[in-house]
Amino acid sequence: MAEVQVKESGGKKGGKVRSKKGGGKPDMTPMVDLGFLLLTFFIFTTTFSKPNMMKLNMPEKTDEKKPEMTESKVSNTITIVMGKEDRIFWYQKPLTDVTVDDLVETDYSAAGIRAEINKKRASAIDTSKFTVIIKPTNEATFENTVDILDEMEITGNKRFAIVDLMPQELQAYEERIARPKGQ
Amino acid sequence: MDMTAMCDVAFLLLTFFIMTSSFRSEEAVSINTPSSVSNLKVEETGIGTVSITPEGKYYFGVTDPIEKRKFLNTLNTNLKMNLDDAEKKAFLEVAEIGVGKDRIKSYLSLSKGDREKAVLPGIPLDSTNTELIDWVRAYAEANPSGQLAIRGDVKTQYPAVKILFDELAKVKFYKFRLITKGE
Repeated sequence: MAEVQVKESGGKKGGKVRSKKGGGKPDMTPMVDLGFLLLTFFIFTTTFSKPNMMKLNMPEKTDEKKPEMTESKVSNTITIVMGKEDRIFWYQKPLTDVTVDDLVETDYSAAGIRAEINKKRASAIDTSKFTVIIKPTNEATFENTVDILDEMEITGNKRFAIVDLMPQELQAYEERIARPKGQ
Repeated sequence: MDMTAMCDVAFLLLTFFIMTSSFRSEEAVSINTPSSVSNLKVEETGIGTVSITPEGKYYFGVTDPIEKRKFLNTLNTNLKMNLDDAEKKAFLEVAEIGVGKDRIKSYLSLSKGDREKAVLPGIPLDSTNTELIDWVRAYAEANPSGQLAIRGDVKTQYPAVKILFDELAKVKFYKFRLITKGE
């Protein structure tokens, strides 16, 4: 590795050698060592991947509770219900008469929920007003929520809302989740 | 061998890393954020973070030291914490506070080592005690341009997030950032 500057051999001690000017460069090896040591330290303590963030605007809650969703045409919406153990269902029905059989199970993959959203949007009457209603149950996780919001970003849906489940839906969901996956 | 060039390189890199590094701040809780496709970067300033652990405990943290100082003063007045100077100093050292006003004095008077070991109850937020909301409001009051970020764990259950959304909606807070990591 580094060349160690050999002190001039011989028995001469004392400052006689130093008096030779330009006789040798200083040994840089320890300085390089120190440099790399500090460098290593800083590399390890640096946070490289800064976390990302996504914007989320919740609907304003006004006292005059006017459910906007019921106004929008059913065929212009898709409702996504996120359940426990990363299970996910969707339906496209009026809220009041949703039953257990209307909930269609899918998954979080690109071929799953994303395909469904795109398909439903393509067949919507007014594509610009296509609304995704996101309903996380109490058994869903934060990750599920972020995943779905991510899908909104990917599919380019600007209109979506996070809403709580209605009793009718909750009942349908309870029955549906009791069935094993894949049925 | 001539080490000078190598030494130069080492110190050049070292300088670069010192300039660009931001030290990994000590986090009271380790939270594994879900991933998303969003490529918005989290800003260092103007952001207050609510962290939610998988158990549903809430922590509040402010990154920017100047904002944090302002926030501390507002919080101290609003919640009548009566912190003395030593406790304020301790407050500024802690990246994320995970105790409510009842226990914050005793928590902050612990030594640094004990503080890390202490089991934190989280800042209370439920239907009867919405102290976390007071924290958020204190932050908004101290830093009017500040934004609120929510950092949830992959395993955080949705109800913990939902109650936060609901309570924040009551105080007319509708815009959030969800912190995720890049894919």
